[in-house]
Amino acid sequence: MINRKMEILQLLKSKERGMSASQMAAELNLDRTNASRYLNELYKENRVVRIEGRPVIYEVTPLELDAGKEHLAEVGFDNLIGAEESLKISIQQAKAAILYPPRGLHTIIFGETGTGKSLFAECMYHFAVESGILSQNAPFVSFNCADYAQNPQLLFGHIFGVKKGAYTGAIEDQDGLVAEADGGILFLDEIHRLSPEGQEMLFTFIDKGTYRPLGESVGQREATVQLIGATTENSSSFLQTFNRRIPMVITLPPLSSRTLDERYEMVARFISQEATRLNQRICVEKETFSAFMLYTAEGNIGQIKRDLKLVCAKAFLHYRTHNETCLTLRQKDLPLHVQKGLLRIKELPERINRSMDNKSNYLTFDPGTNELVWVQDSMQDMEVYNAIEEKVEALSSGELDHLDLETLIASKDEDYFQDYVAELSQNNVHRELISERIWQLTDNLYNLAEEKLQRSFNKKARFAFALHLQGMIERVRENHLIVHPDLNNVRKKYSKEFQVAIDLSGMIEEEFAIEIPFDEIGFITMFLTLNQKEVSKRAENKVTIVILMHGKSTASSLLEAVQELLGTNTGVAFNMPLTMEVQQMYDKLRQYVKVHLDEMSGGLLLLTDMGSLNSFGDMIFEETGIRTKAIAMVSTMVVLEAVRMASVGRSLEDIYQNVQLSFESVIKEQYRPAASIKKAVIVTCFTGEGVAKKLYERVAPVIDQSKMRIIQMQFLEKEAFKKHIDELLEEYDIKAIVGTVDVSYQNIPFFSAFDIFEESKLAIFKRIVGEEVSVEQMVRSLEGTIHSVDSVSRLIISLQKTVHEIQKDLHIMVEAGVDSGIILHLAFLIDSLRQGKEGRSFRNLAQFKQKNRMEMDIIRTHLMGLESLYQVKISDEEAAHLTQMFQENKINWNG
Amino acid sequence: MAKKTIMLVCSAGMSTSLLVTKMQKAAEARNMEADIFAVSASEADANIEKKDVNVMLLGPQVRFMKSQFETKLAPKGIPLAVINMSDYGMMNGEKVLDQAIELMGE
Repeated sequence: MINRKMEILQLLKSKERGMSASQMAAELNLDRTNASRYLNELYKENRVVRIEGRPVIYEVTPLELDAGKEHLAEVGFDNLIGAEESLKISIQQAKAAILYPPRGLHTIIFGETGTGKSLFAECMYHFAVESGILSQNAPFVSFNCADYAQNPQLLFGHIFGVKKGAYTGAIEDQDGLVAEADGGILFLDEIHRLSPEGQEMLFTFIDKGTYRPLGESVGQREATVQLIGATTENSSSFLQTFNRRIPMVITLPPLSSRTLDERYEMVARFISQEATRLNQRICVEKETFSAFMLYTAEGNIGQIKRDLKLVCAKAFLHYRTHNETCLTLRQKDLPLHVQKGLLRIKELPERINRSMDNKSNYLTFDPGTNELVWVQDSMQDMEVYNAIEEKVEALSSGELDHLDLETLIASKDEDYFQDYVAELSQNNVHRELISERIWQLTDNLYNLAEEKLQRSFNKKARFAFALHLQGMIERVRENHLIVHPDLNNVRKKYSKEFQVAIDLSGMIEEEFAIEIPFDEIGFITMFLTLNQKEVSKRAENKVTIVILMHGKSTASSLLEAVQELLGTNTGVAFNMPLTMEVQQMYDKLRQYVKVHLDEMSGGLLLLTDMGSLNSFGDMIFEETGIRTKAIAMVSTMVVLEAVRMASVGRSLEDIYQNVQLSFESVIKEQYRPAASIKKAVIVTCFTGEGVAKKLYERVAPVIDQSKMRIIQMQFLEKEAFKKHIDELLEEYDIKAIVGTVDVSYQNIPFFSAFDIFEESKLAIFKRIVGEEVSVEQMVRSLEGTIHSVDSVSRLIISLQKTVHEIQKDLHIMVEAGVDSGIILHLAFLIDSLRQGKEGRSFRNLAQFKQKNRMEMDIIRTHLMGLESLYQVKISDEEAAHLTQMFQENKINWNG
Repeated sequence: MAKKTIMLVCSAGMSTSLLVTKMQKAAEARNMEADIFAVSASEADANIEKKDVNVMLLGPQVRFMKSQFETKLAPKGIPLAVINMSDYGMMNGEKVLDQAIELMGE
């Protein structure tokens, strides 16, 4: 699809004589009225001349003809921006690699996404031709290894060729890329995606110059090919394998280490390219240009190019609908992340600023400047504009009020833009992880599902599914048994989704020629239930506390006393007169739970006076699905603690553990809290092995597994999952959950599969699971410095517990090292208070207290324990300092 | 090597004072002439004016004040960093001294 008007202009340029509107219409297969309308427009724009007569003949203006003869700049090193600066060394290396006798050196190009690796490889090829190393018609074959990364056999066949009969479906001999590139250059992008087998074969080819197509049993084939690989991967393991075999390593600098002059040139060149493409002058607001010069583009040059394109598309839409004389890139149309560049405006050197500072507030770019044509730059370039053009045309032919045009197009075009923007914003890591084919299929499947279920799924859901799909196809191919443990329930509960899942599996079967097991359909169904607005979304319910005691009014009067003490109405009392049968009591309790089922998603804590009543807990869970814990032999203190914690929204497991601990501590004065508890991270998905495995692989490198376990877990149903987490919590301190289904539970930080593949989120994850300084180490470091307490070790342990608890109650988490800082601070504080030293002041204390009342209260409550234990009084000022430390150091893992 | 002045800052200047003692020992062992001292965050400003500080280190619990100090120190060219978390937790004078020396670029 090419812009019609441009097409007409091109056609006219190619003809020696002019053409009439009907000739034009016939040649381009257009309606005649349309053809003459376009020609008229071109005439008005002074781009064609009319030769009056019958019929009227149109010719391009001489000026236009010149513009058409624009010399497209050759792809070559000399035309690369920074050829004499940032890229100088890389280019020298590349030239050396090409010229090295007898047939050049195999080369690998390292560089972040978007640094121009493909373009650079292409330049190397052109240089080889120019310098006579390769003949004029030598092939340049380019291939992205990610395309077939999922299927090593296919990839292998694609590169080395396939012999007829190598596998069912190989009905004839097929040359591979190596044969195709014989006598030229083979460029393999994302070479790290090659399977080990593929790498092995490639090395053999590098070493000996021979290879064997798939399915060929005898003989070797020969080919002379210079290999250029490109990769973003610079891990040591990868380097080692390739370094030994590939002698030349060229690194392309990231955008951040390019000079500002180079960046200026890039932005200017890209805008010129768009101007040429549209054959239209582009005006750029100075702020827009500055923003593009300065913003942080993690996707490097490629991202600048994409972002510019989006802005140009917006400007084009505006231009077309308002019939403006000039296409203008306005600051207000910039995506936010680009606008942020303006925050750094001071960094723009005076000299560049001045060069933009000519009389007007705009910079202008005219079409026809040199354009670097790049094979990778697909036809898509024109598509955005064409789509807009088509819309404008379709709509303006109707009887539409001109004023409404833009709003109308905006609404019609919104979907298109959203997709376009989504495509742009799609993180490369997410893209690269999954093959194009799987993405495509995932999108098709989800589009169908959205239509059938009348529900929308976000990209996170799609990503999780794509990951799952990829693993599932592998497993099916390898004949792994897929078992869904709860298939029947899923089928009943989500019958609509199940129906759709059947359709979807049909599509998958067709696309990948595999047979999807019935149980797998269950998993697909579950993916379709994701993203649904949960019925019980209203913030997790508080834990229900039920006090169950023998005696006419023992339970109720105990609860009453506690409620009065705490000024709350949390808790329910069940009195069990001695005449009442246990069964009767149970029925009463069950009845209560059933009636209040809606409010009980937080779980139920049973406080009883006799162990025998504890069996109620499991029975209630079995019958109602409400997570239930029971504690026997309660005392006023236990009820007080439980009710207090429940009323501030602490979780069931948390309350259970704490109450048990404080109970234990009454009996056994010295227990060892948290100190010896093991740490863990949970990775989870529906199958417990598909996506979870990928997640495992992703987080494993950043975790020291001698200190922290990674637990792979299946998620089938929320309540069961939570119960499982509860069990794990008795043994582990769970630092984070990473998974496909959003579980907010126990304030454990959650990372979606989508998040964890984003570098910035992974960095946060790293900080959360980061190493902590152990109690022993801290105690050792304080040896001989704190004398006012009996046991430094005990002091540190209780401080650690306090710091831990404060974070829980504040619903925050501070970075791993910061809490040891706070613990040490507290240790010295208590020491100095015990020696009778004066506390410090706090600026604007009253104001701070007012602003942070809640937080101060929580911290004060926790300090009370320390105060009584160490017989000190901690001032409000100190508490404020502490509050500030927690507040200011918290990790923002949601943002 | 000229005498160096190293200033440590934490919330109250208490926990870092222990670190100071350990750093002083480390400096002595290396025959390095250094004036190492700790102050609370509120006293830091006065000390920046008063003393000819060569480098400033922050305790991890007051890392949030880093940017605030940066604006004050940058014009004077005084380097500033947060003390490595695990070195701080273990009160490792040697390593923190190394960190300070590295920051001064010597």
